[in-house]
Amino acid sequence: MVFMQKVGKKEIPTISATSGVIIAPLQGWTSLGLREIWEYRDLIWSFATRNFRVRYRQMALGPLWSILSPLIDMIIFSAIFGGLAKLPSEGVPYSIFAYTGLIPWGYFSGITNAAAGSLVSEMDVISKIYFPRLVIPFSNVLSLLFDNVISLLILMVMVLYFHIPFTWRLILVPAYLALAAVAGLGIGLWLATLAVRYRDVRNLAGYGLQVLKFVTPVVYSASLIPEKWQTVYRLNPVYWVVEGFRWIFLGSGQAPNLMIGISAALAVILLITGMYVFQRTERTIVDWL
Amino acid sequence: MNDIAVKAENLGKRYRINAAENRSRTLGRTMLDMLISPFNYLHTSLQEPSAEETLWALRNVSFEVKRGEVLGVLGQNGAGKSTLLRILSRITLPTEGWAQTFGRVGSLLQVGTGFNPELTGRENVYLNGTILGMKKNEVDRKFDEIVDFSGVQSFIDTPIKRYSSGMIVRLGFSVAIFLNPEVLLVDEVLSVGDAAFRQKSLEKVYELVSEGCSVMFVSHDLFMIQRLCKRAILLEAGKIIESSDTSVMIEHYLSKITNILAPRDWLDLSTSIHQGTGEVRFLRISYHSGNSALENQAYPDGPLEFQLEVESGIVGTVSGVSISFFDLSGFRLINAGAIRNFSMKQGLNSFRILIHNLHLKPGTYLLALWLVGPAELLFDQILSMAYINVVPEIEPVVVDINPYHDKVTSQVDVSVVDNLP
Repeated sequence: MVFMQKVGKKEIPTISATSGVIIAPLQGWTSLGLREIWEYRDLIWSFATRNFRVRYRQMALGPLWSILSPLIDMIIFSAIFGGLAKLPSEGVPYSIFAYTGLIPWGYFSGITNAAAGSLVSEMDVISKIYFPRLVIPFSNVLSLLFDNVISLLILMVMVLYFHIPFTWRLILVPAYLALAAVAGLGIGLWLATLAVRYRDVRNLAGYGLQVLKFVTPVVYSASLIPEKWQTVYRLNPVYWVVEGFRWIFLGSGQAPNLMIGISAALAVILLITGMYVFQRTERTIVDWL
Repeated sequence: MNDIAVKAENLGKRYRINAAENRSRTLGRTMLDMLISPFNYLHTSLQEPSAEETLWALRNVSFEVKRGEVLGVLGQNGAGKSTLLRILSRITLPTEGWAQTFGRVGSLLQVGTGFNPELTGRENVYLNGTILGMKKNEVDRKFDEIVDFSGVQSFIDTPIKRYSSGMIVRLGFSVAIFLNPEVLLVDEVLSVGDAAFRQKSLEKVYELVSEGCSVMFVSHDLFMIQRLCKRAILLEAGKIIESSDTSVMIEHYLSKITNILAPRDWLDLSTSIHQGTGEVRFLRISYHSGNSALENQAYPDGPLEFQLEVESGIVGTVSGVSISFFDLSGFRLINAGAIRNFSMKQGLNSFRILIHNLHLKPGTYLLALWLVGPAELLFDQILSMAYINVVPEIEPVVVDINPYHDKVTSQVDVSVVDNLP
């Protein structure tokens, strides 16, 4: 809430009118500070547009890169898994099968990486100005979404090309992207917190993400996993995002059921605990680095 | 309405020092430590750090700043001034005690923070404004004022990587000051930009103060503190020593001086606090009076010669160099130097500043150095460089001492010398 306060001759807006801001050591459980993040929503937008502009102004091919990168992945995986290993692809050409998995995976892993590196990458600003640091990973969710929308349009072109019919399920795309963002932020915030104290976490995180990519049916069909492992396999929120995309665009994959609720609940718990530990670290991070 | 802007109660900030080296900085090491010697691990991580392992950068600091008050914060390097500002601007948390700030806090800890070289001036104003806590529509409203004040109108849609360093600083300062803070934390930055912009900035700060803004002003520039602040606090080794009238405070501060420069000694300036772009930088300095009976010390009405070594990163010109003498209450008595072009070669260059007649009473004086490039761009400045003693002559002569001697010109020779192999 913004109050107008009279100071001298001018009326100026202040964030809090009377109580002031208390600066004291952290004690016990503090709040997640969501209200303050809301106060800084314009900064989320500023950071997001900056990321987007800076990324594309420095590159010769500009926004083409966000299209090229999943396309190149698709070509490589199509050649190896589709061409050489002849993996099953649930009744559609392997290329579009893999591309449908690579797009949500790219969004998830992009958010995870950006969140994990957020405290270190913005050190210059963090060490000089206070603002709720959660703004940084949140802004990455937005800037990566710009990229994702372009890739989604390509996917639609491919869907048309392969004569796969569109269905009402398309309206669920934002919900699945939100699940990818929640899971990515949850994991990324935990990694960011640990990376401040232990420098090798960032290297480990790279391998961890590689493993997770192959534990998720990004480039192969989930039907290859034996039945007895399926329950554990489906706890992974990214499994649901990837399978959901195939369900929406290709008509294959896995339709949502009760398990997606449990998996999403896990992702939300990861996010809330991640936000909590992240906030505890950010308040003293300049003392650590 | 509450007339207090900032209140601090027993603020303390503790840093671990030795502990950091012993403790594992990698996840692997931590796990290994836990496996090999679980007892040791718990011992070091759970126990309150012992006294040798910790440094209290700030301890038991309590004070109040009233609305519209300008409070000076004095202290030697490492006394805890920056830690105090970092806590009040919420960059880090205190270890004990608490502080309360009323109204929007603006800090000029480093202007232009978060500026991105790829973005245009306009985009950076919005980015920087929102980082500082403004809403987008608030930046919209103030945009024209900000740009007017900074004087970079014609370049506002140019990426700032093409700006000069002076332009970037001016733009950054303008955004920070148009935040209209109710509490402003200032750390030396009023000495940025060219002389005209410094004057304009200072006037803007006065304007804010007259509208009820409170300022905490940390500076080595005693002269500036004396001009701006009625009340000052002195920090020493993390504690508040006194808090009273500025001139009393400054005398107290100066009485603790230990760094008095001896004649013919070269003072290494690499650890001094430099301000400016650094394209040309002071390296070291020495002086002598040529009077062997006084062991080359400075004496009233005698000559005094300074030798200055500067390092230049550019081949170009320096348009002014000077050395200033301040008395213990912060008044500038002498500004010896020249405003004219000296050409610099890349690397080491030497200046010689000869004051023909010093006109100073015996006593202790503070020295400051100043070096500007073309268009008054500040290359380097060292505000509290060192102190110098002026000793009485063996047979003192009675002279009329005018304390404001920079108005009574004594002849000064400045030259670039090439005394290097």
